[in-house]
Amino acid sequence: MLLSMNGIGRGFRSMAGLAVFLVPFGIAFGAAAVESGIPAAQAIAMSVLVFSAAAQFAALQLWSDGTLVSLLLVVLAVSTRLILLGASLSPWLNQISRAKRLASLVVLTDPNFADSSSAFERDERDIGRLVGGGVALWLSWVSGTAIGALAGESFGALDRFGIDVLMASYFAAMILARWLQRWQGRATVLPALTAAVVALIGLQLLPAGWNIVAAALAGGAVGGLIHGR
Amino acid sequence: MDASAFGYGAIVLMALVVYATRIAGSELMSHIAMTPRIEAMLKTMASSVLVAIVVSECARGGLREGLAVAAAALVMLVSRSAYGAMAAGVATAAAYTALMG
Repeated sequence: MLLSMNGIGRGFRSMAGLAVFLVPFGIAFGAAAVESGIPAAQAIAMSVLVFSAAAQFAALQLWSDGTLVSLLLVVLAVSTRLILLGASLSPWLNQISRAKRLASLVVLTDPNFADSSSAFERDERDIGRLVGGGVALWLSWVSGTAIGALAGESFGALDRFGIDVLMASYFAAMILARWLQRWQGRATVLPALTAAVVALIGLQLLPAGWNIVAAALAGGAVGGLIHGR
Repeated sequence: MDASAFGYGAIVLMALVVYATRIAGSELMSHIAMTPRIEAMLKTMASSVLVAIVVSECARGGLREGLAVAAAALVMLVSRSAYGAMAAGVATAAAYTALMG
């Protein structure tokens, strides 16, 4: 594995289209942040530095009411998923130097994880695929936030244009891309079913976001257990 | 400390917490010997995260989200294009909202 500008370019191009459609999410966050009483400059700084829709939207609810400790705990809770994303990229990520790896992970998010891990499963050998995708997504998240925060209003609800289902549609496509690439029968079906069932049950029982963590761990455990059997 | 400094301080701490979660998984795995079984587990976990996100979105939403994801999946199967799939999902959801309110 390596990390090169060529790879970064491939990652950027691969995520650029999706990134454009994510600008409205940034606008929605910027507008919601200002509504919650966060100054526009701070809302933009948050998108620049934190770069996580899940963590930032969660933070809005606690910004004025909660304590700093409760704010950080909620941010940690909704970000736990990222630990699993990093772990599942580790077979490839951990083949480059630690310094490069830690720098690359600054821009780890769900969409470029989905894109690059599928690419690594095929034939991609460049961690730049993850980094370039992250840069494209970061640009759209930050510019969207700036528009929303400075204009002070979002241009109507995301669901009117159907953009709210963009990520779910993309992830569904990425799941199918993996399955079409490498269908392993039982070893594909059982972990996916497990993850789906745990996610549904967890949605009722667990605090927001934890059902994803539980489902990923359960699916992974089943995948590990039936490996080679 | 004034409110603005407090705000920026909180933002920096948030960023550090999120960054810690970004690096924790690969740091942890760098101390664990990679066996074929562990690798299989990690790779299954990758798809499982995506399955869990999609299933949760559909369950939290309802018929509209379910139809949108189904349309996206169908277009992906036929065209093998992720952008085609996204367009189908978004168009389906927009049409549902336009028709059903």
